Amino acid sequence: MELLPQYLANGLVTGSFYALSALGLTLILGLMRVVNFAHGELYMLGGVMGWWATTRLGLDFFSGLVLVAVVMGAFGWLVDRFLIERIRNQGEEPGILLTIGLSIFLANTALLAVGTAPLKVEAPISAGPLFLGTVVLTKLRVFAVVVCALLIVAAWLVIHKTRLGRAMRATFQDPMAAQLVGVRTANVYAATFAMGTVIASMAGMLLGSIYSAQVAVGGLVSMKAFVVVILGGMGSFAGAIAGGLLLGVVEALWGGYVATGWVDIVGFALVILTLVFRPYGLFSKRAERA
Amino acid sequence: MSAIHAMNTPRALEVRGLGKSFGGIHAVKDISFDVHPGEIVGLIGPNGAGKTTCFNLITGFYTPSAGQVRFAGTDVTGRKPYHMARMGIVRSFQKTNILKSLTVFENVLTGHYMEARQPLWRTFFPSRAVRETEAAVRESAQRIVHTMGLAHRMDTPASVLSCGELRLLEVAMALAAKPEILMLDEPAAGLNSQEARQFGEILKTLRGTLVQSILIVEHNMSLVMGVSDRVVVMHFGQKLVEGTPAQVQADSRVVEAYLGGGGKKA
Amino acid sequence: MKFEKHCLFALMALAALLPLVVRDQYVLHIAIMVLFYAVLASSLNLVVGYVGEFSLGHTAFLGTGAYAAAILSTQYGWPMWATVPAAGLLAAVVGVVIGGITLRLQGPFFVIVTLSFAEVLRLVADNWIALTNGPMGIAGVPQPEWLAEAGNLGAKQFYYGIAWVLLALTLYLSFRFVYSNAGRAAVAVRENRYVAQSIGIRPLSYSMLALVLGALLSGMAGGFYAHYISFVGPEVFRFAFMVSMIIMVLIGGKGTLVGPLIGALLVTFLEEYLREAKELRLSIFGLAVIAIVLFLPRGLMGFVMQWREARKAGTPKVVAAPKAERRAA
Repeated sequence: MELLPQYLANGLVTGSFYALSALGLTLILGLMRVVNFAHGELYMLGGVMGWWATTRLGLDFFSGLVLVAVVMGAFGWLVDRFLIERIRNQGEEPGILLTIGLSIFLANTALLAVGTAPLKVEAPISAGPLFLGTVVLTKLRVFAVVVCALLIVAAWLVIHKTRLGRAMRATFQDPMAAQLVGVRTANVYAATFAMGTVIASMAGMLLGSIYSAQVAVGGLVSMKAFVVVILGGMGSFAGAIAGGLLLGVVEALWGGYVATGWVDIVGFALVILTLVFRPYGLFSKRAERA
Repeated sequence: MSAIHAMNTPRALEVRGLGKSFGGIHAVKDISFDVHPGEIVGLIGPNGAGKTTCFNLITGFYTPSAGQVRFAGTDVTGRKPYHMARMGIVRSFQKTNILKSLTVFENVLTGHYMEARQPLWRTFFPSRAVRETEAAVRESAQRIVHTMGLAHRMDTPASVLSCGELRLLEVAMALAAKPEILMLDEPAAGLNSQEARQFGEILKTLRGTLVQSILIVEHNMSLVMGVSDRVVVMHFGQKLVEGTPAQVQADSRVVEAYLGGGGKKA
Repeated sequence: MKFEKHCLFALMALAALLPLVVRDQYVLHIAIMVLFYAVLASSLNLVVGYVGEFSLGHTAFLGTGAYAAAILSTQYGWPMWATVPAAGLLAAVVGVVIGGITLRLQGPFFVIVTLSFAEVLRLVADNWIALTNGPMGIAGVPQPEWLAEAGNLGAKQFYYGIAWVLLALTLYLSFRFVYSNAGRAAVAVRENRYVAQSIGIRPLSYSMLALVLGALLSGMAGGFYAHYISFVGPEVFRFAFMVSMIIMVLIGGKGTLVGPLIGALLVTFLEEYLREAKELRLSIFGLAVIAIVLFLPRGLMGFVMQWREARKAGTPKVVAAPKAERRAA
């Protein structure tokens, strides 16, 4: 029982990472109705690029982060403009298949480029321990949680306080009306996808400083992100945060008290239960339809 | 289940006190009317009056908050749509009512589902009886397409049909299910006056032959008034008036509902 | 319908003649894999085409069948002619369970949950050591005894025969389903749930039928796989297998019966040709999926069908009187 605060703390730390990872996905899903199966690979590319920037280019962490954001943002923009744009009005399935193809391509091309070895992103803070009462966390993790929170707040501000954000919300409520009042919807879609990509890749780099970036991690990240999005409800900011924290805590408790090998099952079990009983997310107020 | 067999035992649709509220808002309240065998009943009212909601309630797409639906004396309130269809009540929908990627013939053929049902294992090991049923429904599908005047479009994909042809296909598909009561939700939407008139003629020939009765929601007044034996008027989710077309058209409350007060007689 | 029927007969006849002509064991092995993948692709095609949703969890059925056959034969001594059908049945049961939960879900939810199920099964296979031997897998799945005397070529020919029979069964069942009232009902449910209900169709029944049929067939393929390869490990639930199946269905053309066969043929050859360069091969697959989605959404067979329809529509049609009238005359 005395380990409970430690498990909770671990869970909240991992949970905030899950929340940030899932944020990009839920934005794209909720605002664009595109199921981005390449989400995990975008995260992975952020990590790999972060490693390259900090070790090969010798940049410090924050400059590297900016570089990753810019490059991946441009990449996301291009993917939307030239690939997703073409299938935008064809329903959900082409988007699912397209992003699956993209994820396969990105994962294997990255494998060809950098191989399977874990790549450590140089962190700006040491991994030394930090004592909060009986709970032990590393300084690096606490730093990462702070950066997570900052990024989440920044994303929220962009969506709710900027012109671009207003254009986004308008376009996704009614593209035709938005166009009629002069919003360049093609650019808005591309910007949204770019934003989702930027958040995912920044998460990848940030967490790559703790866990090391690895090409094969894309699939697992995607799955966890989907779990969080389903728990929290598609397109919901608060839902992504709540869902992420919930997943992190439940996994930590399960891993601590039951067994560590089966931890990943927890997420899937939660998803299946959620979709059976509350398909719109645990926190949604929508009633079930007949 | 075909209309021919059921003529010996005419059945009626009775709606009593039907109501539906969504979170405190009454979409439909205390609706009562009958559809007798051999009748065409029109259901009209301004937009938002709750006509489609009524349809949904009767056919089981919504569960009623109050009231009863009886078919041939049996209580069928809230039964699932496919159950209602198997009892002989088939409805059409506004707009997307057909299977877009299939041809006209295939659409109507699919509509014969209930007639062509077999036990599961017969799907994989068909007997001669199954083959004969298949031939029979194919023939029936051809006949129905001809009846609705779509023979020249038999093998055309439904996605390329014109609006008027789509409306005819919708009815054809519903007919394939051999209903006793055919419920049509704005079947003349998008038709010009000539098409609407022809449509009305087809409806009149259907009544008593391929189907027993028809319940039709429509905005096209000349069509509804020209085709219906009786008309039920809804307003703000409640029944306003019921009577023959002539009675309803002369009723000042109806005019007021549509025109918003102080309208002169037509 | 006739065109597809003739194509299928022709392809299966060709396939039946192959072992008479080919004596090379390696080529026979490739041919067996083509048949195996054709069964898998056809079964996935049933789900995609007649449930209307893309299931990413199809490996769940394949893997269940493979493990079932492996466990039944190694731990309980069941012979192959019993394990393969049992594998199919067990996979079908899993299909019922998964279908009961997922078929109520639309679009991306269905995709994600089916994928989750496959992942859960993989984790179970990896961790439940007592049953599945964990990551080490189950080795030494036995062959039928009399095969020992037949030699390597004879064994391959035997397995080729079994695979051919499985594919023939798959195509027969699929064909019957597709061109039946049940098949039409499934299409109606896929296209427009509300219309399907209003003509008396209970949507869940037909989506479930398509899913369970797909599960049964890939379960049997899994059972076959266990005996042929004689080893089953958790990799059988891997996503890479799923990717191959998806590509086969897409390239060939989903919603056609011949499409998956063509897809299986093409993809198996591609995989063999690029066997060494696994990442390069998968990378190309990724690009191929993107290209197909953008430029050839109906796949090769779909494209052929479209071309035939366009040709037919071009010729003038004489409207014939309904057959009933002609008969009465």
